[in-house]
Amino acid sequence: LTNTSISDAQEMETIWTILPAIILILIALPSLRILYLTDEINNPSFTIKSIGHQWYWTYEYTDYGGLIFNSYMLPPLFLEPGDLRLLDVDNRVVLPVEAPVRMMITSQDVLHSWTVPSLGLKTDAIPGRLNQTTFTATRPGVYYGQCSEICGANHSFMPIVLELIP
Amino acid sequence: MLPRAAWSLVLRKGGRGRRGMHSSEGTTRGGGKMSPYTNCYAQRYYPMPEEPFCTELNAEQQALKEKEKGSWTQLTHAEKVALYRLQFNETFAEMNRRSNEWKTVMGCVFFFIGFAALVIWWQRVYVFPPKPITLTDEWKAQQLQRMLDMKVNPVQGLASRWDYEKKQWKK
Repeated sequence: LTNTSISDAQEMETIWTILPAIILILIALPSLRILYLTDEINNPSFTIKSIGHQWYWTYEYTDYGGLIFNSYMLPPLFLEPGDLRLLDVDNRVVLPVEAPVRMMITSQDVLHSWTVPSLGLKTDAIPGRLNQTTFTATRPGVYYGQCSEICGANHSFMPIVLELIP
Repeated sequence: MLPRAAWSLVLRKGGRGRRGMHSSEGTTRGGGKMSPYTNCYAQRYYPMPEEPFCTELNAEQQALKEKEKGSWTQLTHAEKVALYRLQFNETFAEMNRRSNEWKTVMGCVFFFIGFAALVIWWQRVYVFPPKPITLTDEWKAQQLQRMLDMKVNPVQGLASRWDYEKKQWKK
């Protein structure tokens, strides 16, 4: 009543190991090619550096002069009525619309991730490494994001706010 | 395997003497039987034990076993039933009978759900800190107004569902 008589099926086992491996390789190679094909050429107007710390972001606008500031989350006691808890910051990243922007993202201490979902951005901030992401925003407004790589006690409390002005 | 005599000693003490034994009959059903019966527990997935249920036969049963060696058409219905009972502990119908265990199980499940509910209520009253100010209706209304003013996600999201001319949600 239990299946005890079938034990050795070497040919079948070989086939159903090799064949899926071949199929997966045939899927993977064009996929990788497409991944690199979709990398766009941006010609950014300017560059901003975003450095992750525990537990805040530092932004450096160094193209035209040196502007460096920290961006901390607003504690709940400091919120104005109507502000978004855990999302609003004291200093926002101010950018112009319709301008290609290059963000260079890195970290001072542990892994973080700089992300703004409504603009389709997520880039890890890795200590000792500069990651780059480029984007061009077309709509003015305020865009929120939160740190997306676990980085300690206040990982949920270091948001990112982009303010795009026309 | 213990010898038969030792087996019957174990069984005579009653209870689940089989628990340490890895015999083929399985150990899930309870209730040891006294000698001369061996401890055959019928299982739906192992219905053919190696040993017959009743091995020490009295004279009448031995005569029946002799008769079994002949043609089976000579056996009466009662004799066939008796032979079956010698060979097997339970019929399939008896083996698969239902029980009232589900009532116990469901009772315990509901009891522990109730207990968990009590624990959760106690936590809400005595453990949790007060809710942040941003969860009041007034603040939430101000937040919503701010988000609509900023026109967040105007393509498919929140602001796309608000009718800015009529100042109401789109139907």
